[in-house]
Amino acid sequence: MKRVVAYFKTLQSQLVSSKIVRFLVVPFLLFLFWIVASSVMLFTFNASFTILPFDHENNYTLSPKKGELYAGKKLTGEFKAQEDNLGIISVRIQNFKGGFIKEDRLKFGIREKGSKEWFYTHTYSGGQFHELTLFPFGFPLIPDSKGKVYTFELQSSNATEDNALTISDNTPQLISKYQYSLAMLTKNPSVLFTFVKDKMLYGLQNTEFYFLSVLYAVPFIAYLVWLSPYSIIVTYPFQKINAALQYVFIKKRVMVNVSSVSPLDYVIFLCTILESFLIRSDSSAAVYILLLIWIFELRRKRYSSTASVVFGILLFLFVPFLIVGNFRDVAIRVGRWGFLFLVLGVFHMVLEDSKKKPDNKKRLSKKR
Amino acid sequence: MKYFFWVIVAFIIVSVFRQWFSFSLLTATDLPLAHPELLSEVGLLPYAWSTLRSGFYAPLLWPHFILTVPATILHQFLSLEWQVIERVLFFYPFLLLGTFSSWFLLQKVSPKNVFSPLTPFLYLINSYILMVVSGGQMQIALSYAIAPLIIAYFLTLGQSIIDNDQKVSVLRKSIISGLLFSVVGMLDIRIGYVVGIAVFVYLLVLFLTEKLILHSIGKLLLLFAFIPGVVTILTHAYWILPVALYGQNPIEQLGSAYSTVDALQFFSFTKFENSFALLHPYWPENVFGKVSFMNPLFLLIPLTVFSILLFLHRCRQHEKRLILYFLLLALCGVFLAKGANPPFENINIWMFTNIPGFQSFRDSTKFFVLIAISYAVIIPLTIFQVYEYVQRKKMFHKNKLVYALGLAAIIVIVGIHWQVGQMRGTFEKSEIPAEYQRFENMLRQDNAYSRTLWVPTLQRYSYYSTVHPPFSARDFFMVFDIDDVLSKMQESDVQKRVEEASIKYIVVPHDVTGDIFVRDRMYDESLYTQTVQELSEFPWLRRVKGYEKLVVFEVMSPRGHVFQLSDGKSVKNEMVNPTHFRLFLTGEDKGKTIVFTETFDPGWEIRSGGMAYSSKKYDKWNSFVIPETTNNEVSIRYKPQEWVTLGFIISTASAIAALFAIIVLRKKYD
Repeated sequence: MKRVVAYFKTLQSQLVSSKIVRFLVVPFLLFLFWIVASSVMLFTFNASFTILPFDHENNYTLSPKKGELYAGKKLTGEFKAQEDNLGIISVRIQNFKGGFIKEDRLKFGIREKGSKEWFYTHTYSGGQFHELTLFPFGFPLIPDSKGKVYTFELQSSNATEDNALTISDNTPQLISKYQYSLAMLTKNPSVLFTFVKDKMLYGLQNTEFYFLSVLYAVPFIAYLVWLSPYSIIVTYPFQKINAALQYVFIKKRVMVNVSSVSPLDYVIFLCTILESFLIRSDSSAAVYILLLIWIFELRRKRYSSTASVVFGILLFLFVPFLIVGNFRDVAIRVGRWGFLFLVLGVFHMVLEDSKKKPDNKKRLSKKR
Repeated sequence: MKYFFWVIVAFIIVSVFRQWFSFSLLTATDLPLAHPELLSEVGLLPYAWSTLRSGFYAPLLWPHFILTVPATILHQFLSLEWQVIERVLFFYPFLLLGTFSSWFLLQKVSPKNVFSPLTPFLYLINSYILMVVSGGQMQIALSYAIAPLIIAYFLTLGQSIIDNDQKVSVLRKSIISGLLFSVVGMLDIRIGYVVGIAVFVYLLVLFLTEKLILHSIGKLLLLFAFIPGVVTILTHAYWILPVALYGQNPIEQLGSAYSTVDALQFFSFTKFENSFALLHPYWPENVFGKVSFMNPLFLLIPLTVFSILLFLHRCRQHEKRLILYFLLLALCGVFLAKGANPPFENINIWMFTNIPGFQSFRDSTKFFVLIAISYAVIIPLTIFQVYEYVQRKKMFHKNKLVYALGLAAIIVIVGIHWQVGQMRGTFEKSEIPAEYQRFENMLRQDNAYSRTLWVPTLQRYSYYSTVHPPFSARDFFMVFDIDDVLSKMQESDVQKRVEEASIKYIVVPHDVTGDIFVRDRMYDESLYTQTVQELSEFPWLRRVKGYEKLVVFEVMSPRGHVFQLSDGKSVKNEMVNPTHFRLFLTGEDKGKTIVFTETFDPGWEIRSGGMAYSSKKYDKWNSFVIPETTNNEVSIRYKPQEWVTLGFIISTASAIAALFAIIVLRKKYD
């Protein structure tokens, strides 16, 4: 066992000291991670892989464009389908109020413009509109939808001031989604090419994609900065921030030493804020990466468990203010970060405790 | 000062649970009315088969000695009504045990904490347990109430092992821990599993914080896991033995709705923020699948709990280790209770599919127990640390500060749970509707065996007994949606299936509580009307009038419990117990196939003249070919009962031996 451990330790030191590993393999792997993670994100943005979404910026009408949907009121919309196989439309409407308690009942219907019969109708309970800012209304696929104009309606049955849904005028207000089958994509290269192009263009049009991509790039960029002989250019402003903070703390007689806080710590903090405030889609990979970097930082800088605990509690303190400011989604994301840092803090404390304890051998072997 | 808090806490608890102190009947979805016949018919011995469920019952036998037997005794020997029994057996023990055991656990961590009444207060007034008791899940509630006591005992045991106390004393504590663990398992085996996780985490903390040598590790495992484990397994032998020997996975038996990853994903209504804030997803309405908004006020709870980390450097080493243990326990609970929801949901799914026992947790809210225990213990500790901190600054008078902090904590806890008044179930009086009582009286007068099919399912006031066992149409047709039940009823062979199942009455319940005919989580009268209308069209059913909205149909020609396959003629029989029936045959029954309308199970066999003949499957029932040479009186027996009987002997002997050992070791120690 000892030999195996020694072998791995030697291997580790050889790898770390190897220039090929330091300057080529590690940067390449981090770069590859950035590209792969961003590409996966690009193709699954706002929809699963085989669904092509389309943001309606101009070619749609919505009435009313803003406000609350009270009993008897109708939200009506009209848009032109961009592709065949229309199956979902997402509308920016949300329930900020009563939740599932005394929830409203809303009747949704969609039909081709000019048609007297509804193509599809369904009644929704108002509580469901809480979770998603863009609520997806699904219906059976319309195979020949391309170029046709569709109208839809959403009518409230008993909404009051306490449970009415809110229509937001943030863009996009309306997204239509088109289902492609895998068979269609694999059999027809030209369809596949157009589909891939449209998917990429869709992702690239969204700023959220860039934010996530930045998060995925953090390990690569941080590593390059660390390797660079000119890293002082990057770290200098952070040293100045530390000095300023330390000055304030000393003046206020707060016994906190911030001189050892590294630029990477600031980056991690900013990334958690970025992830919480600006990203709405699944960002689990980014969360894992940031946590790993933080663990790496804990080891590198030999921080005590208090660092994670303070970080976690600080994030938690934001939560009530965010909720009061009606940023529920952000509050929950910040709360989740707080939890993860507390988890690390508690585990770290247990490990610290185990190191502090004297050997228990004597206590257990003493005879009465 | 402490007494002042105790009085306030007691006053609020009594106010919240005030209906429990009245004399009215309390029922809920999971606490249906137990009719006197049922209480009279249940024996003191455990049986491997249930005629009420028509199935292998050993996997569900665990509460037999701790709940079924006491209920039987209270009814049969003391002639108590169900209203009294449910209070004596469930409600009051829950309040008393919950208060004592949570307080006792806090004493292990911080004996001089002036805010100790807050522990039982938060432990009994939190959204999770209020949901559980309002829904009538009293077995879970009782095991929840006793769980802190068991953890406290394991903490004592762990400390004794580390302090190298006298062997006799440690061994005694180990046996007591095993017996207590056995009790929680008898109340609810899943909560027993959850408590097992809590014990495992403590063992892990001991391994991490104490640098143990190999000999000590062995000693720790022997006293901490092996002895309590053996005591638990032996005292549970009456159900473990038949389940193990019969080789049926009780979870898989229930079908894919219970054992698949899809089931876990479907039932994971608890999100991360819910579990972290100790907020049950259904709070306060308690309607299945109706998940409430995240109430941000609940985040005050974890914020208070984890603030203890800022004061940890001021705690003594022993206290610090226990606080870290409870924090780890809380984190484990938070992680497990969220089920297949992010973050790290793949780990939960992996545990569900690969770790034995985790399949029982498709509804992951059971792990809230760990969170409730941890939070209830840590909150008074945090408040105490805040008190000491402020006191050091000498900003307030000592007593005023205690009152201020204690009352503020109570007000915040009550304020967060202000919707408690909206709760239903056991928090409101129940009255048996008149039509249910009339139907019950009619069935009581009918002494011939017959089943009742409730479409789509039973109502909490539905009458049943071993003479008139019930069938839920959902179980009978193996579908859930009312529409599916009705379409199954339209199938061509349904009349034959119903008649052969000995069903004499088909009943559409009057949904007085509005939880059966539900569409999109709301009562829908049209579903009820549609059900009645469709059943009215069957020519082989005759509507029995006089029960108003409880619509009763009589089946024209139901078969008996045992009947001849060739001509449907009933065979005279008598139930000795649920696993033993006597058949009184006539000459014309011999050489023919008879059908025994209990769900097919190869464990059923006919015994006559020293010979045994196993059951063959006919549709979903058991059938036997009666030999020409058989006696006129034969027995139908369920073979796995032999293992239940053997297990019962082992369990009783083990429990007596364990108690005897505790007494003897106590004397030696003294």
